[in-house]
Amino acid sequence: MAIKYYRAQLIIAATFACLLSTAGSVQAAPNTFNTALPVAQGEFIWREQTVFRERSSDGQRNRDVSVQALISVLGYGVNSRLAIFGAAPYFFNRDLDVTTPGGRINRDTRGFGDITAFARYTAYKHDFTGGTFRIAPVAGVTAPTGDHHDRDRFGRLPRTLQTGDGAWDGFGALVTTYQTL
Amino acid sequence: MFRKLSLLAAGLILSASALAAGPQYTLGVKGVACPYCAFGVEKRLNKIDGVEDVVVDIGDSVVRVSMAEGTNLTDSKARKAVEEAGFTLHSFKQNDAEPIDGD
Repeated sequence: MAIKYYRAQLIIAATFACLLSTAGSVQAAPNTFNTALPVAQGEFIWREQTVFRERSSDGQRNRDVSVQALISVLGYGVNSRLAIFGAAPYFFNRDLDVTTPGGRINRDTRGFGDITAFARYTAYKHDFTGGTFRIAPVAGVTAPTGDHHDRDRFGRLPRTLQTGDGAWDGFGALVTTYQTL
Repeated sequence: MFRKLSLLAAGLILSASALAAGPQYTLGVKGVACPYCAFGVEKRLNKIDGVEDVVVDIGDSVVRVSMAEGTNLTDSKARKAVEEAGFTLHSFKQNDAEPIDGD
């Protein structure tokens, strides 16, 4: 295909998420899947998103947290309005450096995280020349595929360092997208 | 001499293929606002029998469809394909013919 003309696009996406359970940290899918733009009927879309996250805190324990992950997302258009998605995060490293009474220690882990499956239905759309406005509810579940009992020589890793939270989590959201060229 | 003959042969081939080309259509499509959207439109249109080439012009919101010789594209087929991609067909025109406005 030749796309002869392409200008910077403006995406305004607002998501109102209502967690149905006390899920831990929610790992976002690639941003383009957080919009209400359609996936063509019968077509797949495969996206990869890399995540590099660094967080530090001052204080006595002087924690440094580092996360490197790759999130794979597969989308499929059931029809022009309904699309289903699956997202699988893989953590190359979840790393914590912290000062303890015994000195500075490092704890880390790696592996697959919790897999998320969700469906998105375009409830309203208004197409116009060079743009579109859509509203799409989203609902899904997160399966406890990540390890939540991982241990190292210091014992069980803190919950925030585990690659999974050990629970089935449900979620719902409403995505609105107004996009123009 | 060889060069002249090569040029003549190339010219004949090009003119023959041009004469053999099938009908071409211009579709006005609303809602397409990103390359990712355009891929969906292109893929659905390419599934129609006889479609040889699809060019999505996002800036002008038009899709140009070239058909194989002896085939044609109907308004209903084009509309179905565009809607399956998640967008709205608002005009359908066979090039060198009067446009059919869907509005």
